Amino acid sequence: MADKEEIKVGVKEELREIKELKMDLITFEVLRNAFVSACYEGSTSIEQFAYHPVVGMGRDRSNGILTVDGGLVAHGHTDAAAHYGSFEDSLLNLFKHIPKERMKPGDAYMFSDPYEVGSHVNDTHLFKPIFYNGELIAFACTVVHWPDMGGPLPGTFNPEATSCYAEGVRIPPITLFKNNQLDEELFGLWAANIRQAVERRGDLTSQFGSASLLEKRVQDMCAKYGPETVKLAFEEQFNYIERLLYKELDEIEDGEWEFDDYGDQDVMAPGKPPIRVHCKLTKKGRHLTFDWTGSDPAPIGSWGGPRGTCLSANYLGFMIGFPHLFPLNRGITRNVEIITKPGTAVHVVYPSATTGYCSGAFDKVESVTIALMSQMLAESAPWRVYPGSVSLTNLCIGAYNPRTRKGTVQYTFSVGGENARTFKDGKDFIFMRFANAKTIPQELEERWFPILYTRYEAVNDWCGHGKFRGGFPVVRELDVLAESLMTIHGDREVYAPYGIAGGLNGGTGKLIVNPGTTEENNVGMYATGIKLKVGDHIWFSQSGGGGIGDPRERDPELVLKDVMDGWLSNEAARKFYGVVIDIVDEEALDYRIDWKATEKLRAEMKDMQFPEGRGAHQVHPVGKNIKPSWYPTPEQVQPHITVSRPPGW
Amino acid sequence: MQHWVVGTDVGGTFTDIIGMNIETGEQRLGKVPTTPPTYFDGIINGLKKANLSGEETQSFRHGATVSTNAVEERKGVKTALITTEGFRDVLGGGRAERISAFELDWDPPDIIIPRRDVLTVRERVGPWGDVIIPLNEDDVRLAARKIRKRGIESVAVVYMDSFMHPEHEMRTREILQEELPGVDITISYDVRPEMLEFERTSTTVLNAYVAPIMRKYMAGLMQTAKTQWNYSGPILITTGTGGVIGIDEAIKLPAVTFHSSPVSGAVGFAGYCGAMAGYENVIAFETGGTTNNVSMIYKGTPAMTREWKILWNVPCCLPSVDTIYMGAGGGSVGWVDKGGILNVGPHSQGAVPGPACYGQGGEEATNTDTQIVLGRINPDYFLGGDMTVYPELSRKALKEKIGDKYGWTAEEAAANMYMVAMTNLMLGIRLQTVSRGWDPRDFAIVPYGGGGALYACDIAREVGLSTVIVPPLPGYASAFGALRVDVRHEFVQPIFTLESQLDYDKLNKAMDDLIKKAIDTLAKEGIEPKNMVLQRLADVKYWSQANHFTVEVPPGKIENLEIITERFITAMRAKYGYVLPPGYVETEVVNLRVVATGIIPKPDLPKITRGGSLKEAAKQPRKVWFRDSGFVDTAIYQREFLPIGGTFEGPAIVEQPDTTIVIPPRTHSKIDQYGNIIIKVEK
Repeated sequence: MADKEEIKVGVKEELREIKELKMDLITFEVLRNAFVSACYEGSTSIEQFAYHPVVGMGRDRSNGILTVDGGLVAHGHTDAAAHYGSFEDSLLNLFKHIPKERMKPGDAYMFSDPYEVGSHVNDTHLFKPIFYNGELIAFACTVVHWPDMGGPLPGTFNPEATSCYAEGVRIPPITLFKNNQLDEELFGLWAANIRQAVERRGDLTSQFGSASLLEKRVQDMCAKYGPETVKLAFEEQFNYIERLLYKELDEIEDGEWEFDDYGDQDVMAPGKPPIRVHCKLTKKGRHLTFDWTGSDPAPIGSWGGPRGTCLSANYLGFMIGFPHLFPLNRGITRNVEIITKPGTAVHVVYPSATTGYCSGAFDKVESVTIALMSQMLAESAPWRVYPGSVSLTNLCIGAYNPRTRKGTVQYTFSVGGENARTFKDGKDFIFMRFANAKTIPQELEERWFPILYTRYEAVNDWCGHGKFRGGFPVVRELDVLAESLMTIHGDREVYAPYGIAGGLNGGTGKLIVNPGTTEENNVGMYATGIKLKVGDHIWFSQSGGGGIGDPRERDPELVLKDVMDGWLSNEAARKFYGVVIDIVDEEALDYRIDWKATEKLRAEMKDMQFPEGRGAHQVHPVGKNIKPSWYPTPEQVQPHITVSRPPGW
Repeated sequence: MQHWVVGTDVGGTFTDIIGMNIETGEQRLGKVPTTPPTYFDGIINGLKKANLSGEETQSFRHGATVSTNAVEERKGVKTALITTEGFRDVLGGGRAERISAFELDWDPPDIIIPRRDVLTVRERVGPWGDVIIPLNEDDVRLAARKIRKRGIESVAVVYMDSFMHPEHEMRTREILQEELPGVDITISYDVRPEMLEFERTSTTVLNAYVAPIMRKYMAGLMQTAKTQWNYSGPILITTGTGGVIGIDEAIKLPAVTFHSSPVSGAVGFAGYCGAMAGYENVIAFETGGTTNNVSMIYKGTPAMTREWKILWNVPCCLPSVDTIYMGAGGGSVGWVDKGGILNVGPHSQGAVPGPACYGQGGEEATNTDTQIVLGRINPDYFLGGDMTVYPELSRKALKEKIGDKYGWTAEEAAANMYMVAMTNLMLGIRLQTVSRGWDPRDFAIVPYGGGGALYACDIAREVGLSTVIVPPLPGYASAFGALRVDVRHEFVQPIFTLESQLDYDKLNKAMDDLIKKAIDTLAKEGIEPKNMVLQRLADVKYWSQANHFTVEVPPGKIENLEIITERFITAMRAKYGYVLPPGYVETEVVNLRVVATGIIPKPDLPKITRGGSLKEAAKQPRKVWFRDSGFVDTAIYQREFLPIGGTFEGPAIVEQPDTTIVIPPRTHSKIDQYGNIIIKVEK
């Protein structure tokens, strides 16, 4: 149980000095890359071994190395920010249950209690202590999103849950492996309470295998360089990142910035206002404080996240401002003060529901943090000024597949449009910013689940228009081939990803069952236990990235290109951009800008104001004031990541 | 008599020719400048320089770098994609990956076919091969009209789930052939009849993108060989699987030739030379000007991959030898970041302006500069003395760009930068071996290319392996490799059936069909039945596991999956070190495969008898820096004069026109009967 005090994390000392490297430069460089590449190796092994496509193909897994005091040293290149941001918190929570003194080589501790892992019950954390010659050197941490953790609904997501008891099974830290052997009885207790436990056995095996791999890698480093050097290298990772961070902070003027964003609704409190997430960023010298205490109280339904959620989302937004500080480690986390109030939407406590944290609280904290970072960096690094981006929607469908004669739980996450950049349009077809996931091929899903895809395409016109536009979201359409039970747990049906500097907000998400028929059911982004019958048809689209700058300032040639590529309709080209395009011969692709008509139309539109608001294609009332000091070219963007990328990247 | 087998490789700068007499083992070499845009002049020049005659040649092997270059330089033809209605963005959407969570400023490379030229057709085949929407032929004809009007030269056709029922793609091709004479058409069923729509689409599009270029190039090559070299025998083209195929097959499926040049070097040169020296586990390690290529050969067989990315979002998913490319070469630049850490690369100076020592205006310190300052590369013998370099410029760049930031001399800066570059390469090699469950200590490393032998011994010591083998012709690896590989084809049939639902008659029939296809293809290329080796493989996985393993199918009729499952579990344990208990879930057969090898005559490395003494090979000693000793007086040898059977202790430098071999202290070197230098590295 969390207490009622405001909880502060981060800054331990008021003023930190720059610490110079105290070890051999080459050994430091070798170990710096070795830590990250070990995590990458672990994540790759899970990806290849794991069972559920969301883990194997979708990459919903992460690996980290932590010091014995709970300092994050490194994580993998392709891991999910929603996972590793809470590793430190999660390990400290483990210590409360199983003190370090009791830990033995060959143990592995596993838990999924959302208030302990800092996300939701599906994210199972496995920690393996790494011993060398009897001494505890570090921890390996492996997280895998288990597609089902039991509870009333397939996939465990439950927008209507009002407490953790309506979600999945909550597992407190337990010693699930002793002497490198799975405790079958303990796992049996767990397995009896979840769906498709056979598959989870496969995921668990890969998870433990990956942690053992990290253990071996760190032990090998100890054998080669000595345990003292390895431990010193951990601390030097932090000091190095800290040096880089201070160099950045010293070039940024002090100030205070505020931003807020909203969740559409508390599903279990109809009629109540939307859920507000607010933060104030204060920068004073090298001291940074993110104060989230102004956020709304925790909703009754499943939307909010435990404290770990706020931490990982805040860290992610922060790192997006300073991407060259990769990987996230203690050098960052000890320098960022994050203040949250227990019982608010961004710091829910037992027994609040949490499965929806990822599309709810996490997404909003991340979006607010990026808006704050954008304001802070508008002068010094205008290429790091970003609008809002696609959010996460979790679609879960449970069914028995008559073709393969297997029960299945499908978990599909959304792909949408990314934010515009101050030097380029946003990327289309990309995951929300917090996951380094990959889409699961439709041909694979169709073999597993009783569904047939009929569409995987961009939603035309549905980006945030602007001088630079956001990316386009994707619509998936599918036919249902067997009786199924569907849950959709998303957000941003009403409150769109924000545009900045006069750019429009992105498009919003939608899910319709049987569109265009008498049975049409617009279920939106929150629906629980929808019964689907054979022959039903689902139309499911995501949000699109926010735009930057007034669309009427967009280069007409770029508008022409978008129309030719079929992203943008001719009507939208006129309505938002004031560009008139003649389609002389569509078949031959002969499209031309009518320059005269364009000039005239733009003149007519000069005094027109796009409607202000937080919905799709409106001008965001706060976002409009976030402006880059100038518009850079792509070549001016710097600096870049220096840690070695895996071969082939 | 036709005793000669000739290999060629057309590189960015040089065209390499090597001829070997199959009877006598005589070798003839030619290295001449590459002559774009028609590379044939260079090839003919090289053949002439090597004094090889077409009439006396029995087999001509060619590395088709033209297809890889066309993709990398985006110089393919204007291409359209026809796909299932509703799936227009499968190609552009890719797998929605990003490079890291934090870099919102990053963009993937532009896709090869812009969205405007992705055309859709009403049709749909279901995942089990049933027709859900019949092919709408009017839509195909409309697409054909657009393609004609837009001046498109090549078309890729990819329908959802087409590998289960290719008739729609085949009918589409017929219609397009009627409507669009002269336009190249590639259907996905011919390229990659396997699951995963994006990967299949990307591979098919790549094939279509280079098909007309390949066709013209091959026609030109045949014509040139005939008219200018009097050769009308078989021309074999190298592939990415470490084999060769007939010219007709290469025209039909150019995608199999992607990255064939580094692969034939790895398989036919490094793998072969390693085996001749007695090592069947080999790390092929090639370092050039901008990149470093690494492939693994385990028990004589190269490690394969099913997915190879030409660019970030442009995968070519045909089986190929797994080659990793690291952005570390002679031109990679050293720099100090704001946190005070020394980095090398990934930025490279390339050939222009090149390393500082070239004196072409390059002011950055590169890997080549460190090697010069450390005394390893002889500035008076750069490219055999053909090129003048300026060591004082190397020293200046290292001092100013790196040394001054730490208070180091140029030599100290060079030593540190060398260590960073070397350890980066080492990490890449480690990752490639250990992540496969292999112990790097079981391997020998074979360095080649201009720079491989500068790093190999230190890497060997760092990774813990004990043997470095430097074959005699590191500058001709790809051309030589083409002589040492066999004809190789691969055929695949999707199955997608759980063990409990398998119809073994159908399964055996599918396997027999593949075997027949394989035999027919090899026979068409003139391979005698006694020289055909057919390997029967199955892709299997546990039910619901996302990725599969490829294992060998036991001989005879398949009656159950017992042995196959056992082999699959063994393969899984070897790779991950852990498995699920057998029988825990059902096994699923994903695909059947047949790898068809046609054994062709291959020239052997000739045994050399060369007397003389080390003394005769010795040049003026100089001070050279080594990791453990710093600068020490070091013996310098000229490679061509080293006596067969001779041995010497490190430290030493061996110089030859195309590379420099750095042999650190605490090593024992021996020249074997083939002229390989075998270096034993102490721990």
